[in-house]
Amino acid sequence: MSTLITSPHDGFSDDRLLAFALDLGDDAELVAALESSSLLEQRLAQMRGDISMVGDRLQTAVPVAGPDYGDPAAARWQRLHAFYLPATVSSGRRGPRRIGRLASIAAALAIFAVAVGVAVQQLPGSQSADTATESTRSVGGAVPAGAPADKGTAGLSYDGSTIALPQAEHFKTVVVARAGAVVQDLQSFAVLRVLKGRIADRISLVLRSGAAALPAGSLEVLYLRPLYSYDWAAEPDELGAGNSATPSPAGADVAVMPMPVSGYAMGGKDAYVQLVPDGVDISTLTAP
Amino acid sequence: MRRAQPEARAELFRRYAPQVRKILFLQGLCDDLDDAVQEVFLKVFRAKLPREETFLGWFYRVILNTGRDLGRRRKSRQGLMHRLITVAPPETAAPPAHELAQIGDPDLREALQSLGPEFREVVALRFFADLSLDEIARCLEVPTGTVKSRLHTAMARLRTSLVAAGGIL
Repeated sequence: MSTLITSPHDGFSDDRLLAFALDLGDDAELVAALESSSLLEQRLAQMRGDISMVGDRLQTAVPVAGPDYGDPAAARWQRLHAFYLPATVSSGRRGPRRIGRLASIAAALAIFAVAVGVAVQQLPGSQSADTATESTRSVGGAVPAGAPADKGTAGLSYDGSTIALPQAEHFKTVVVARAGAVVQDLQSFAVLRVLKGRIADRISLVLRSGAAALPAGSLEVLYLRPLYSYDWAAEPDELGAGNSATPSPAGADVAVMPMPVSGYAMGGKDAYVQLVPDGVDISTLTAP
Repeated sequence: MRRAQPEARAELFRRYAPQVRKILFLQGLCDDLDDAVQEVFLKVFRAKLPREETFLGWFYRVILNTGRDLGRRRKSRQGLMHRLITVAPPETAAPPAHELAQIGDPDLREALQSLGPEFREVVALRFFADLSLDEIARCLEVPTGTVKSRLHTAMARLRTSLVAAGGIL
């Protein structure tokens, strides 16, 4: 067993030896004394051994972790999966309700695109519909000549590393969340990223009467706490085109962000949800 | 803005999760250790990353701050439970567990309990993260001299306690 030499006759206290053994500083006097004293050398070796044993005891004090502890795909790290695993298909994701919802979104987008195209072409001296659509995109930070500077009409923009959600400016809180279970008229959401505002890690939204719940597991942008009475559908010029699609980096697949839809409420106010399609990295979503 | 890519995040997790766990454990988060580790990485993945040269210092600060926050919440919960028990004691009221109660080694547990959290953090960064004194100082945002002082005090107490208990062979 180690013994503490509390009254050394060599003039070097344990504290001093400990500081030296821990490399806390130079000690020229001690170094010189070590050359001529085997007892001192022995004490220093003992001190280093004690430090090593304390370290070993600390290491073994921590309960052993399972073999899958460092595996990011392990089930125990479910809350982290959205940050590095490809989106998984939940059991309800391809169900009839999901397909119906996607069909509704596609139909809405098609109708809206036609409406915008007709409206733009009817304007005297306006650009063509194709050009107008392009003006809603800002790829690589380049804004087409003549494009309005108003960020509200810029739609979703890709600046090389981010997908901006300009609609977020109308809301106090915008988050990316994964839909959870529905209990009566409440659906829970696990917040994965807060894009704007402050909110708890888990929230529940009230499902409006007659509205269909989102499939559990789907990834959504939630627009919460509107800053004023806001009717999404009433302002297609500002929101519709921008929500129809957002470009990915040049040459890459186009990631389509569908239109936000209502159907939920939080604190008595409308809440909007927007599906994050597979392939969209949620860390690239940003809110103004 | 800098954000890690998915594979980089997974690699960061793979490399550091066991170490994060040990540091949090020594901070006293013996219960819900997995939740605490997850909380750390959620913060890291959600955050805007600092420059590469300052990343590690920032990362360890996130770990320590998360551990402190969760520790405070734990104490707050325990305080509330204690008050509730005082008002309406259940038939089998157990005293609130100490934050290091799950350390099986009784001598070490007692020795660590005698150290304040600021001392245990230095020990954790030294022995679990293998950081230099200067790196620890940057993580804790204190002078290197303070780190030296805390490490010396902590190790002296741990050594003395364990030797006195006959624990160091």
